Amino acid sequence: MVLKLNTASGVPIYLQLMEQIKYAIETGAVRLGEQLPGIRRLAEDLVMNPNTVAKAYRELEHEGVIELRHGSGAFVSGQAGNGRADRFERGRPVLEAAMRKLADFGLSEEEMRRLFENELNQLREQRGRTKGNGRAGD
Amino acid sequence: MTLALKSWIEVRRRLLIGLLGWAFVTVTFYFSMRDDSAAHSDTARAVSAICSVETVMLMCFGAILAGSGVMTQLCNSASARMPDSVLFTLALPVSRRSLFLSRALLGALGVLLMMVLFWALLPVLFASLTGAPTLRVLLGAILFQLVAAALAYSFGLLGTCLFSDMTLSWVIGAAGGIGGIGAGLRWGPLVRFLNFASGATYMTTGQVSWIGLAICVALSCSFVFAAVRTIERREF
Amino acid sequence: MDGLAIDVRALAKRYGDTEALRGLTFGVPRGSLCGFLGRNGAGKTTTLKLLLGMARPTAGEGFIFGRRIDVEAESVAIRRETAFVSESKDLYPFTTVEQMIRIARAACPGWRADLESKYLKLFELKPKQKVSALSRGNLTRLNLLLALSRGARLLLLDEPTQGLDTVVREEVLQALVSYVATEESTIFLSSHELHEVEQICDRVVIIDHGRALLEGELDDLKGNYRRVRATFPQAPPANSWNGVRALVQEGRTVSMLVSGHVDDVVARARSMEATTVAVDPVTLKEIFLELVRPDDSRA
Repeated sequence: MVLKLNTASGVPIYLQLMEQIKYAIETGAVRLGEQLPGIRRLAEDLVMNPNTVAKAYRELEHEGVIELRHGSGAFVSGQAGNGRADRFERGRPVLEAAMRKLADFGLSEEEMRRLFENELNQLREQRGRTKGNGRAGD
Repeated sequence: MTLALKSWIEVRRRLLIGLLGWAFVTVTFYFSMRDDSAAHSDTARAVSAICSVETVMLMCFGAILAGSGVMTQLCNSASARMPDSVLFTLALPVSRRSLFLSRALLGALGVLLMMVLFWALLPVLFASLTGAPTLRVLLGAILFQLVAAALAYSFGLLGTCLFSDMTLSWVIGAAGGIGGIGAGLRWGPLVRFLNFASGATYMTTGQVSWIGLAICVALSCSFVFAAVRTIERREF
Repeated sequence: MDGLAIDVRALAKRYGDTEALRGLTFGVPRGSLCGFLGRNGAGKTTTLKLLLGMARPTAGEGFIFGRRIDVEAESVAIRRETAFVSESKDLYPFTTVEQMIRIARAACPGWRADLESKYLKLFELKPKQKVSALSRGNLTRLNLLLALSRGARLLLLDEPTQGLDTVVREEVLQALVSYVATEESTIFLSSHELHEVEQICDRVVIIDHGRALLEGELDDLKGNYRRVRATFPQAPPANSWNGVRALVQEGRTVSMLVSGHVDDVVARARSMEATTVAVDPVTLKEIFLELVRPDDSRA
């Protein structure tokens, strides 16, 4: 599992880590039932705070993406892939169609990327706020 | 034992300088005395000359050894540049009292070493100048030297805590140099004081002021006590 | 006070005419890797010195693992469990690597010989090498070895990566992360390298002019702050944005650093018929610069 974290992006690192682990699962880089690196090992390899790794793992467990087995480590949960890989497959043509349309409008790749990132940030903001409100007692 | 190596590392250079300086002066003085045939006839003068020179030297070199190093650098302002190795020392889980006393103890051992070497030389010096020394003379020399050295060393310790380490060493060294010149020029009051402090008076006349000795011992203890208190209150 | 590795309350320190600390209050929970941020002269080193008993507070109190920092006997006990690396990393001149290790080992009762050999090998330090001949990187490594081998529950580090090249920096950060993960310890480090703090710290304390401006979890901090940029058909009046920090207005575009009430600000912008409103996360650097800069538009 190759992870790439960006401290300068402003997005909390534990969220980035969660997203990247999910992505790794979705694309099959890590298979269902496979073991993820231990918290300490991952923290050392990525040179990041172990508490942050622990937080990401806890959240992933909360979402049902992974299972934390006491004493053995973190494993990709059986249900993690189901539905997600599916959604991934369904999402791809949507994006392909949108990109073709944007190309017809005359947008360059760079402009498309910027537009997409802007919209993605907005979406993330929205999601982050509703999530925050919902987990006030956490 | 926990601070033995650290204290040794801090003291060893000064000890080397002190011993070399002491050896140089002693040997020079010895040869000058040996060649001065006038001195051979006057026991009292010979004895007092040797002892007073040794005492002055003990005080000078003792002061150098007393320098407690960077721990006693004065620093009262927040922004002054500090030798930060003192921060390493202060971060150790050892009380300031232990840090200071272990260093002082090692310095004291250095001074004691000089004294022991002198006492070993004493019979030789006396034998070649005025004949074999009596036990009384030897013991007298030892006692007075101990008291004088303790007084000077403890004063040095206190001085380095109150003032900067380097300046005090040089001040005492200069005073010693001046005192040595004064003694060499036979300046009356100074010579009498040195004779008394070094025990020369005792050796030739048998006079001893026990009260004086007791006061010196008490002073030495107070100096050390005050030095420890000062270092405990010091801010870095 | 329970569970706090460092507990500082209204700490004040005056040196002559200068007030280095004026009522500093913050706490660092056990097990955290906490960054201590502040401009030069803000009081970071003074705080560390007070915590270690190198100076006494003028007012206020401080506790490390429940022990008072201003009582000498307790301070010695604190230092049995607390290791320190100074900013300059000066050690004793005229010593070798081996001698420094022996000195530290003799003075520290909790010394861990296993960690000593581990770091000696990891950092590739030569025992016979003279301390005064060590490069900056190796000197830092030696200081780190001495601190990490003490078996301390708390590490206080003053700018640990200062002056280091990129490779050694990463090595230091990795050693710290590894130490926290394996040894159940707390690390409190002062640093100017905000991106490094962002990388490895889970908490921050920001100090300015002798007071704590902010303390808390880094994720919360970055979760609270947003940059809101809005463009309007006409330039809005200057005091439309009370309660917002760091406002920059250029013609019809306004850029604001908003903490907490982002939705209100966005709603206000839309009610003023903004043509575009963008909300973006901010880096620690932006938050820091904003907090320590005197700001007239602050409420």
